[in-house]
Amino acid sequence: MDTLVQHAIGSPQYINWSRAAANDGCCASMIPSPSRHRVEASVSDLLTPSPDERSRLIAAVAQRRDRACFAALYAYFAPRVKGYLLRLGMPSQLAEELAQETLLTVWRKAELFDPAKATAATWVFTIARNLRIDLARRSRDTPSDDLAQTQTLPSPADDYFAAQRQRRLGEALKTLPEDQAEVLRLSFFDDKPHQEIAARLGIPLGTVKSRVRLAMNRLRAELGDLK
Amino acid sequence: MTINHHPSDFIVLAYASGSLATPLALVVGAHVDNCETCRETLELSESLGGLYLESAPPEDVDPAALARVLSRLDTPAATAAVKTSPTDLALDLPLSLRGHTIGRQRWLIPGIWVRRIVKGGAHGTRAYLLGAAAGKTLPHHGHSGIELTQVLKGELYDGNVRYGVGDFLEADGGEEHHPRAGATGECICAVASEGVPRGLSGLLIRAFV
Repeated sequence: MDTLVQHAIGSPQYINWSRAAANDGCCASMIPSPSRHRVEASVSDLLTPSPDERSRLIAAVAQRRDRACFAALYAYFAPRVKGYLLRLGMPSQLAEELAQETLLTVWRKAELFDPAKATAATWVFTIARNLRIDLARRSRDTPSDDLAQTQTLPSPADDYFAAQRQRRLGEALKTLPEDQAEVLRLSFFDDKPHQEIAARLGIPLGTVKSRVRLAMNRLRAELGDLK
Repeated sequence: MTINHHPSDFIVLAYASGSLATPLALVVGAHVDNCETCRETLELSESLGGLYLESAPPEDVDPAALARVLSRLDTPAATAAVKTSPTDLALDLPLSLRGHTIGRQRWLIPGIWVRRIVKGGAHGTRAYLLGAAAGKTLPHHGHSGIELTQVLKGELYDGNVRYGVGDFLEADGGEEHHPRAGATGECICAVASEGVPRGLSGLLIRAFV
């Protein structure tokens, strides 16, 4: 993370940004002090932005094509997308490339992000997920350009802001018994989960499905979703 | 259209995480495209994905990569082709199935045809359209892996259970089932299966898909 900060500080983009920030530029509202010599310390703060700040960074990219805000998004998400893909068993170089493609797509599609519907992390996750699917299909057919391929219907109106809902989801996840939390995790991090999870856990596939259903129903109940 | 039969949460979760094999994902997508209930499950699953992404330990990325990405910000993305259904099919395919080259119609047995969507690969996972004339029982073939079926037109009966347009059948490996098309007309489904299908009809499916 430090090398990223050093590199960011050395880049022309940063120098321009720090001047702009000092004069109420893009991310000034997120920096505790607008004075120039405090900006360097704040770059670290920006590298771990809160969920709300992440949403605002994307909005800044959408509205102003703001490169410094994009750099902050990159600093937060690229390492995490790479980390996630590595946990899926993707080779390091490929994970690195896919992480970069993900952030490039964030730049290109920033105006599609709706903070009322999803948190920034969820949105970035779906971008990375779609790119990963495209990778698997590339030899077969045309790549999917459509970020919203799985979003063909409008969502029902939500009473909660996405960030609040996400927080509650995180809390609810912690209340799950370990065997349920485990099958959820494995479903996410395994390739061909239906073949491998049952074998790995030494239980029938039907039992795996029951545990996932119990876990999801518990999460739905905690979030107040009617089913 | 009331949908009564859905994929399991397990399958939707695997679909949401991108870890389902392509042929299986296409058929799940065909269901989710038109099902609000499963769309909510999908969103919940994607939110879980966001949580797991946030909790993933950050990996070092190449520090020079940021400059490379910044230099690419102005290059436009490639535009994807518009996705359409084949014209010689008696229905509009769900979005998830469009844009794939659908193979020509091949007869399995009288009254039952298949059209390849995704050819059987290394693990035998394949996806195809299947059409059954009214009242025809789908050929009995064992399969070692799961089989997913999305009803696109007409209706299927598995025993006394009716599966209409929009309904989804999920069969685990080794399950015996003999669905038949309803009496009202031709039934068309999208089917995905894994493992090598057995028996005579299985042999034909392997040849055609």
